[in-house]
Amino acid sequence: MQSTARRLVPPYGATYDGSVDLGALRAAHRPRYLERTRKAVDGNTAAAIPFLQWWRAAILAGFPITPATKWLEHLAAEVAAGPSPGKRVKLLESEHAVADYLAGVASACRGLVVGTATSSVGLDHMTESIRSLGASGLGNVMVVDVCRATANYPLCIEGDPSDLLAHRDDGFIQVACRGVQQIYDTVLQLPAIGMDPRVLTPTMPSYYGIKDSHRSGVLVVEPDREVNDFLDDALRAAEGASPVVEDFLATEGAAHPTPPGLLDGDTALGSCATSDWFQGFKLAQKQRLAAVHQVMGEVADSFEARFGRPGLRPLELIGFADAPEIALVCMGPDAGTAIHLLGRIREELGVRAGVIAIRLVTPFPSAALAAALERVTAVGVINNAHHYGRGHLTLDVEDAMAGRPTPVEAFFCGLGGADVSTSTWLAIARTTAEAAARGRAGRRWRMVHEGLEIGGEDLR
Amino acid sequence: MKKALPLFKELALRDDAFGEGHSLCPGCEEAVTFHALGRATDNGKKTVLVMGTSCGEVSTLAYPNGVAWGRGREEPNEVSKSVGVIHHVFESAPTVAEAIRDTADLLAGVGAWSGAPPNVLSWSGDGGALAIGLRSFLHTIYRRARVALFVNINELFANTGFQYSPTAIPFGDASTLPGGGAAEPIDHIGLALIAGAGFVAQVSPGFAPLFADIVDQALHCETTAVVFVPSPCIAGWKFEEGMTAELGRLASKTGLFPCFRKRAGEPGELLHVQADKRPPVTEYLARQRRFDHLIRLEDGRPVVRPGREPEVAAIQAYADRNVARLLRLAAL
Repeated sequence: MQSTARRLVPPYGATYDGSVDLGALRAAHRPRYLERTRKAVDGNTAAAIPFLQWWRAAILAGFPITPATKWLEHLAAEVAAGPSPGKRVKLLESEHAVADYLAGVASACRGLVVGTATSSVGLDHMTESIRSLGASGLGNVMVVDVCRATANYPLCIEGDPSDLLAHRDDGFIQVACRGVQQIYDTVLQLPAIGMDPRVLTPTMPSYYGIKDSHRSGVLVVEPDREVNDFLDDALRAAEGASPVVEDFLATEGAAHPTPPGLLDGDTALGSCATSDWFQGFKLAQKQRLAAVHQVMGEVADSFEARFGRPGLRPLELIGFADAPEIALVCMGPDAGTAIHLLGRIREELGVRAGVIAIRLVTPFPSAALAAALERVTAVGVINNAHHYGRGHLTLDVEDAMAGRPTPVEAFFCGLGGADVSTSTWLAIARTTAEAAARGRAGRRWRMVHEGLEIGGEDLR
Repeated sequence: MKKALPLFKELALRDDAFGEGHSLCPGCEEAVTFHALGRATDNGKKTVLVMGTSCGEVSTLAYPNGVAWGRGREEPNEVSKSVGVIHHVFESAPTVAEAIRDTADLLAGVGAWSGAPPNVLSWSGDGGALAIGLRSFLHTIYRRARVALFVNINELFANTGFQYSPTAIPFGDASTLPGGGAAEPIDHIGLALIAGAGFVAQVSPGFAPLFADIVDQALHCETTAVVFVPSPCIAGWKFEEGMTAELGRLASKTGLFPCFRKRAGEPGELLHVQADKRPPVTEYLARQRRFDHLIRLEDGRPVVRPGREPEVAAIQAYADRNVARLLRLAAL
């Protein structure tokens, strides 16, 4: 047994090394993919495959909801199809129960990765538990959000990120993906970030329902051996990293920077704190989240070196080689349309335009975005989710550009998964170029559909 | 040959997992229960305790004044003596406990956990299990999870200031229902049995030998064990110091919260209550000022306030029906 020095809270901290032998779990794992494999899958399947491949993903939990259901169905079918020692799919009675269950598995053994997939009101139903998980230090929890409009009146089962963005403050690391390869690669990398002792924060990869959950593409699946070595190596490398803060998770650096689990530790989790101490817990939570910016870079470098594909970076910059005059900032699958149209936009409008696809939604990469936008003369921000004002993304972009006179035009389009058409992108780019020429935004916000401005609000 | 001690005396010699540092009210029965659980779980197995939000949680997991859980003054040398305790969200305790059991079982199945199967207990208040937490509670039972669910029943939401709870007997004063209401308590024992619990019991730690036996049976149950712990609340019920255990016993003897024990598929039993020879409920009610609008003690004897006879009679009728109902459940 190794014990940390006397802690703030007895009996926080003692870890009984060897009481849980994760090597036995790893040895029991039956690889699903022995070699690099190309296959056509949809987004939900791409997000599910890593959970079959990780030996650490011993227990998977779920409750069905459109359009996330196939994630659970794929795992259930695969686990049921053959001998799956050390692998179990658990069906609960509600999303709330799923989130509670994740807390139990993740806290019982912090070396496991435990996850689920949900959507829209399913994520909302988890809220009570999700917000606790976000502050728990359980970085081994992953909730895949298959973005869907929320909530009802009217019900719309197609994808927009209003669920993801309503949960910005839940404490999770939120990442937007588009396309099956990006979904798969992102899921592969996130536990290495969330479980890093400097971060210890759960993760929430996301992709738009229907547009990406149900769209098939060619996916390169890496062999299980490489997938597991990548995560194991990342966690081993992080063992020496000191936690960012001393120390409201009682990690205190040194031998066990990650607190013990309930099974292998003499420990308490989820205490009740007075308000004075609460400040410290919340400061530590913010600091752990801020550490994502550094750790994500390290993990991306490692991913690129091992697999030869782009690692997870906070932003995708397209058309930035020649210092664009205007930038269109967006997220999700419709960024692909904008990238495809970039040449046409430049040609028809006679303006150097660039596209920025946001990958890291929370914590928002303000510094990286500010640097990318340093020379542009106008920014168009594309919001796909309902917001009371100029849009979630717009507020973040404006915050990143604080103090600059660069005009920012706010657009809403693609709500409820609506098509963001060629004509819409051209209209958005034209309006942004006009703001650049004018030196100020024309309206407070605009809603655009099929190239037409169907509503908006004038500047005050 | 040395005669073996009865279990409840043998437990007194074990290492307690509940100690100093809690801030439960003086006279709170939860502290008595926690000591009993703390000793019963010193059985050579790792212990994991899951707490739903409740008096018991906020009073024993305070940061930084001290967590009242843990065996010994220093961390024990063996994992089998150690305690893992978690508080998650209000109504989640049964589900979180189930997850911990599943994890332990899965690890054991591949040889990653070589110790004895751990003790996995959950602790909920009556709100956490039978009001906001009824879904979680029933579905964990329905799935036959191998966990021991302990439910503290004090007929109030005590932690938040003594609001009405669906476990309350009629006409008890509550901060959200002054003077109480006519509704009878939710059939918590029936619900647990029908949901499929392998072992269901109701017992106050005021009956120490029986309490020890029932906790031991719950910890050895191969499916879900449910133990309801009627728990006099000195702050919410407003009774005199020193009456905690006595009121717990009277709750059983009057038939309002009788001791009950039943294994699935076997006849159950009512204990510490006589079906046809019970003290009247007035003996119980008059000692609690939450019923002061109905009845009070005068010279040590219960006196019903004029005009409130119908309410007191209704409570007595409920107690009579409750005993009959539990006898039927025991016979299932």
